[in-house]
Amino acid sequence: MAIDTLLQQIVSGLATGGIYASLALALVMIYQATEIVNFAQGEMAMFSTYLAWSLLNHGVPYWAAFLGTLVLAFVGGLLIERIIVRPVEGKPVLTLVIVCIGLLVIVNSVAGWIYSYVIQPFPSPFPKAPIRIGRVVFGAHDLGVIGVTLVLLCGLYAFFRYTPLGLAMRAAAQNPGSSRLCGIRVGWMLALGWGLAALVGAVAGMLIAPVIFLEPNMMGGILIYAFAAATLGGITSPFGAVVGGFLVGVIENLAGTFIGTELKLTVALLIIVVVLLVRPSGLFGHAVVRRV
Amino acid sequence: MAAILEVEALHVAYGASRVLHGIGFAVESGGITTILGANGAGKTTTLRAVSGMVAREGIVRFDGRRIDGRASEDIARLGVAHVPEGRGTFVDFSVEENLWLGAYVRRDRVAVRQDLERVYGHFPVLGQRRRQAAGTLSGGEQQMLALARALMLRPRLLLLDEPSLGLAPLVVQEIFRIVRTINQRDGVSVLLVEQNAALALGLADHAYLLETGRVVLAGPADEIRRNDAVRRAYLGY
Repeated sequence: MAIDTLLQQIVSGLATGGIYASLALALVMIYQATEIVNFAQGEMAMFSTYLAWSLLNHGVPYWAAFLGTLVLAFVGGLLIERIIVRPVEGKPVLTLVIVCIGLLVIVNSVAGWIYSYVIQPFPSPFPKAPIRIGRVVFGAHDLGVIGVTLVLLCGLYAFFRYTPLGLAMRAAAQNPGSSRLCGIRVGWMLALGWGLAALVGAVAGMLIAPVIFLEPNMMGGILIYAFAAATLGGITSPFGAVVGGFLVGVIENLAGTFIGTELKLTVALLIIVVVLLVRPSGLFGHAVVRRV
Repeated sequence: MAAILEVEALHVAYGASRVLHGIGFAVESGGITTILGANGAGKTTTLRAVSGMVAREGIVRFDGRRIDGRASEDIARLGVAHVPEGRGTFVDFSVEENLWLGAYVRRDRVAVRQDLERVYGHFPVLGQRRRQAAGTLSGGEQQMLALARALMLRPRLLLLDEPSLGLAPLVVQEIFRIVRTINQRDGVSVLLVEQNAALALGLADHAYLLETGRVVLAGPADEIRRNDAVRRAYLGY
């Protein structure tokens, strides 16, 4: 019995962990490219989820709405970089933080204005009936979320690792000056990074919405877990962010089961504090050394 | 002979401090021009102004076309490859990824693969280390990688910023030999900035001497080499 519960809770933790992993990866992608911690990442994901909801309400089939939302989110992220972020690139950290928080508030209020703050249900594309393997019962949505996030993460890995465009995007993030000399349009690469991050966030939003329901403040808590994941894995490491996401998901869920649901969010904040105290660069990150 | 690069009245300032005071020079098509000068004379800035890495005023013509208002990435796309000061290595990437980045703007994938093998022919050590992170290479190997990356663009003009800096004499000789081969066999024009005047004058056909942002002497390389002032100040005999 105990083993069954444990297994069930781990799988359930991996499902939410996949969401945290995706969102943490989005944060890391933007941080690596522009050294901006995008506090608005969660709100962008929330808004994308509302777009999906609108499409679904207009009778668009689920997966078509899903893909359509990815396109819209990508274009939205790209435009946000071009119009709002680009003028402040390279400015002091505080400026960037304020811009991102401003973006958070704006997106949140616009969503509330258009869609109201009434909590809405959001459909899951996966069957309602649980899936039994032996004596253990898994939620179909949980397994579906794990599957979709794995496909997304592998796709991103292949894109960055094996395509010329992915290589150029990594190059632009690492060494913009040298990239320009290779003819790479660095500004566009950064904008593409924002677009991709928004797309990844949209996936996370659409997958978590059936669990936590749709409303403009839905991503607030989730973003804190994503920060915990990115901090745990290392804000400089995409791989670390993903591992951190799954770890945080599982730890959170086990803590909720065996200690008490009230402490779930506390666990996330505890992880952030402990990692920053013990190993500030995270599990897989590298310490940033600057000559001054 | 027609010039592939013509520069007139080029001014550059970093904030209030002016670095280049209206210099002019040219690189002949298929030729090698060198710009000599001491530390701080403005040599690196000159290259950075040509490739659009700094704000500049004046006229820069590449192949008859004005490029002084263009961005670095566009100038690279025209066929100007700049091997910058510090070599511009993508240190976390493998040697081969660095070379792919050099060829990023090219669409002829088949020819790029051939060029990759050709570059490994020029620099066998890079071929042996193609999977290795570029940051782990020695200084000489990184300079070779920087040159190789520039060649992957199939440039018409190569801008070289002090390729001899910090390298052992044998490595420097090897690099200069390869630059000469590339120039003679592939007809790539070269603008070379060097502190090592003896080496540079041995390679170049034309030379300019830069002092605190002004051209103080210009002419064919062998003429400059025989100039008494240059000999005493830069060649040391």
